Amino acid sequence: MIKEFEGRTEQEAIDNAVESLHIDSAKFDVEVIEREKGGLFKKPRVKIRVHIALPDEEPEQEEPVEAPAGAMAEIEDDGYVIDPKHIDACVKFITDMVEKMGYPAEVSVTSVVGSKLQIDIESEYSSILIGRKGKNLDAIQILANVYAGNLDNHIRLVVDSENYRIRHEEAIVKMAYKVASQVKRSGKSQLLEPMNPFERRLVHTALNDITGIATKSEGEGLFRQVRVLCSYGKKDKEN
Amino acid sequence: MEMEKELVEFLAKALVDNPDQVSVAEGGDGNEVVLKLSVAESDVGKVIGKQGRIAKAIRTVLSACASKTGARATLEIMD
Repeated sequence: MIKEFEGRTEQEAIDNAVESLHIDSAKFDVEVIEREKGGLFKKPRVKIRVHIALPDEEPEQEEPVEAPAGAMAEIEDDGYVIDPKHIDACVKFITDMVEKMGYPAEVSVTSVVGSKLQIDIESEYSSILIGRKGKNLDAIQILANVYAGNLDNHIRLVVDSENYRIRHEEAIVKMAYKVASQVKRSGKSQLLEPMNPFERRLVHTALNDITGIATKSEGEGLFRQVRVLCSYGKKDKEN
Repeated sequence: MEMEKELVEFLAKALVDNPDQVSVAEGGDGNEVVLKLSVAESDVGKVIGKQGRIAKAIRTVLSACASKTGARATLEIMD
């Protein structure tokens, strides 16, 4: 979409555009097409042409950028195309589930990358829907994934609310670094609390690059824990 | 108690192959809700999952639901 605006200065013309289009100036490109200098009896005048991305293009362009890079960088496009019907069905399933729980919420799709579907739950009850340590959010995600798997075995859902997943990832990585530096100082290995495979992987990858630190998983099933240990010097204590 | 029952019924029906054979019986009183879920024999695995993963998720969602009214809910899966 292209529209033209005028003002005494370029800035004023842009302000006019922002005001009448109700969109942020970051969201369109500005091209100056005419610039008249003011004279003694003549006001200066700048004419600009504004290029606005079509509204239906916007969500695709905007959202991947808005989500913090850390979370999105790991999602790879595997080229799989999910049937839009299935996406709608998943959104409806989650909407119905939280409503039947007694916590009505707005459920929307944040991004679709290959077979991975990112879903956001917006609700005044989001703190309950997330639960302690994300317990409830994880349960919702498990059930939604099982449901989606029955429709199409390839779909993987990530259910988020209030950016909990990203905040949680950051917290885990921070904790991993903290433990790593303690281990380095003391030379004694430390066992982290039980985590799910995704969280353990986060720890492994975060500490992978740190020299002198090694990580390994111990235990079985739901109670697998990561042990952070010193990979040189005092490691004979471990083996 | 109605809400909890409806939630479990909804979830079970969405997860199994034979939704028409899903039934939930309720028991307990006041703050203690006991729900007994029965599904077709071939579907029991679908509501329990590997290492009880799905059953655990259903129970978690159920207790979040029950906590709204301050109640406590237990889910039994009949086989």
